[in-house]
Amino acid sequence: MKLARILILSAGVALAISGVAPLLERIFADSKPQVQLNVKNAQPREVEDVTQNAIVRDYTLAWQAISTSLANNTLQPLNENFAGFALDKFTQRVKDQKQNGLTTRIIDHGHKVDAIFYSPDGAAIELKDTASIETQVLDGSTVIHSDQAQIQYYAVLTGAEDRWKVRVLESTAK
Amino acid sequence: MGRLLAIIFGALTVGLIAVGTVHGSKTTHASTPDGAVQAMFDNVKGHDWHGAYAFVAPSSNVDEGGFTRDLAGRNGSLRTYSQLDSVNTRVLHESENEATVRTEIKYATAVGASFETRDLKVVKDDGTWKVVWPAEKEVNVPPQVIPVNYLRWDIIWRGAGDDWGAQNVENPNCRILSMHAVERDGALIIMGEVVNEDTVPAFISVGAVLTDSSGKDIAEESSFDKLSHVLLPKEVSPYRIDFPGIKKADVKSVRMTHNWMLVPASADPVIAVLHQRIEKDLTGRTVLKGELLNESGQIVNIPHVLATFYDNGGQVIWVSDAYSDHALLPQTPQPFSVALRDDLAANVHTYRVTVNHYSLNSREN
Amino acid sequence: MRKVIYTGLIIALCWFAEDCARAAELRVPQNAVAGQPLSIGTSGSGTLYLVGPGQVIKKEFKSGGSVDIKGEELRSAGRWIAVVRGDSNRSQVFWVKPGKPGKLNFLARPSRVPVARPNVISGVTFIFDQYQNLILDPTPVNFNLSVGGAGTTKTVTSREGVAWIDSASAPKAGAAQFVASVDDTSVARVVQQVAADPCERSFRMHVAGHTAQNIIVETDPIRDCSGNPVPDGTIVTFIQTDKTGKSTVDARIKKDTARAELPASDNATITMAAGVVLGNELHVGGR
Repeated sequence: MKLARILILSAGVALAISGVAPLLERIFADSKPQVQLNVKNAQPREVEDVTQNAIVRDYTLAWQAISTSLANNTLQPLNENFAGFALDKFTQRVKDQKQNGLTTRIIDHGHKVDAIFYSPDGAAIELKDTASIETQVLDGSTVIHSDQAQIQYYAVLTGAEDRWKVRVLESTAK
Repeated sequence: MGRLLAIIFGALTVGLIAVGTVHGSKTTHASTPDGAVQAMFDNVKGHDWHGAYAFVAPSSNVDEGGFTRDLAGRNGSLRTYSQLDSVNTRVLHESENEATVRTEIKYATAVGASFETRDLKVVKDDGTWKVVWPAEKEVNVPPQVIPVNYLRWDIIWRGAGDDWGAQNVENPNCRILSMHAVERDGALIIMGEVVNEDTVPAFISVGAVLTDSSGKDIAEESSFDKLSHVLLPKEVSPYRIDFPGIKKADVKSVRMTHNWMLVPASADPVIAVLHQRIEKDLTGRTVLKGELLNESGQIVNIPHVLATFYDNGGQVIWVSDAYSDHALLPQTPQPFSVALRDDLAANVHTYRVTVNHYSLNSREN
Repeated sequence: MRKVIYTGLIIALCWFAEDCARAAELRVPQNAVAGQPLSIGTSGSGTLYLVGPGQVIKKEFKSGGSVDIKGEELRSAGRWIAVVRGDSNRSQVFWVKPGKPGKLNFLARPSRVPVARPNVISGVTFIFDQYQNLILDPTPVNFNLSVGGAGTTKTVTSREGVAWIDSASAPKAGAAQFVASVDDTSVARVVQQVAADPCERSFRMHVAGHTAQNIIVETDPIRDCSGNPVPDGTIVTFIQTDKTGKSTVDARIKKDTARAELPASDNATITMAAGVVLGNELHVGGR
């Protein structure tokens, strides 16, 4: 009898863990994408340590902003982390999504980023990012598309007043 | 009853008129020499120029208009933006009919207090003391054409619509040449020089942050009028930053802060500084004196003189400044005087004087 | 048993055929290019959503066939998702490449630079198509830096969307035109090349005249050691010392020379300086 109780309790705990673990994973995935930056190949200027830390911080924030904006069709996170062409494009995307009743859920499984160009004056940096992304397109609450893929992105970031902002973010077929 | 009221109101009216008349015609009788000076300046303080002029001795040979302009200022000078604050008098010499009164006059101006010391001659005239007011000679610049090849820097900034690639003009390269901290009169003073190394004009600000031994910031100040804020190419300016009440021993380190900005500017007017010499003034204080000569054709309303004093090692040992309360008319020398600490006078090996200018009709100011 | 296997094979075939038929409901292009028209194959009726990096396109279709997207509608390069909602729900990923070069972002630094310095001017060009898509294919970019018509041109092939050069400043002062171009698209920047400090050996003054109260001194044309005129506005300080004290004038160079009026004196020494460079010394008056 006692054994049966322990078995039932264990099964209950295992069920709870199995339910909570993906949820936690998703929460953390949504809140803070993992960004690994390699600056060894940056040309023509070496990336300073301070810049390196700032790039990791701000590129992470940019992806977080993409997830939030596309999931909720809000523009505010974009304005804080994007500028120029990238801001224009994501703004248009959010507007179009809103107009068509769509949202996009991005489950971010991390980014392996190489700095490939750092301008001589230190004002712009280009990154090559191999991102593991799960994308779900939702019509209302119905998932109408879902895929998981490794996607290659090229990003150009430029220095703004207090942070680096993403000016270009373009995906390309490998 | 109605008639009684009419009589009462009539009497009241006459009484008020009488009081008003008595108030309007203050007495012009002064029984002492310094009383005459004080009474004259009391009227000046109340902007009663006519009343003040009543204390001026006829032998002064100054008309009321000239007297008023002497005291109220002319040509948009600093004096025209000033208010007489206080007057201290001391009789230096007195005889039966003549006296000399040392008069220390303090004006409140937009740039702080302005002091003037005059030894005024006071004479007894018809039983009352009157002030001999030495009329300022009003200079009339002879009609002439002064050719000026205007040199200005105008800037085309990046437009609002331009995107990231559009290049903006860069801020000038300036450099702090020297920095020296001393303690004087219970204040920590940081001074030195800054140069514009670029080929474009710069608007500069220089400040300092003091840090104590625990690494905490304890004070922050910037140089306001002990600095030329607009520096033309290759121009050097002194700076002085005062931290009242801070001892040098309490400070572990000083962090200099600065900001250089590109600004439109004009290279004119050129102001020569003539006959510079260190002397004692009327009160025995050490001053650097000289004359300013506006070599351009436009009036400089408010000249601001900055003096840098160096020791024999070329180190900046003091920076002081003074605003002149007289406008600089074209081609007309105007005396100036800048205070120098008496305790430093013996250490001064050389000095340098520069002039800032504020002109009402100038686009830069 | 054979009958069961035969029936199973028939079912599998039908299933495959049905799947093939469904797959035919959404045919996405393999070589789409931003700014060029596009055709998406569909069947049946429903709604086609094209979800791109910077836009979403929605098209209703009824009789199957293909849904045409105009060139100006397809603006974003990158990863697109085509989704059909209707008789059946399908989705597929396809890629859109950037179009031809149509816009350059040219970062030229600095805006002012001293003459004759090696590797002080940098030019960085990001190449975009007309819809602001970064062109990642190698593209030759011409950089031309010239002052007064004389200059140098260098061609650099872009890598991953960017081409850059560094260049020396010319020995001649002036506003250099720095132009980056790809095909018929070009962007110009101005790099002001400025003279260095005055050259000590040619930094000389002379007495240019007298007035009743003044003596006028003027410099010879002030040039740097490469012969470039020192920029107008540079401060030249004239210092006259005589028995009445010291007189100074901070004059500005105008049209290559600086000039000052100093008080007439019967015995004075006049010196001048521009920054750290000292000029000659003059003695005026008696002796």
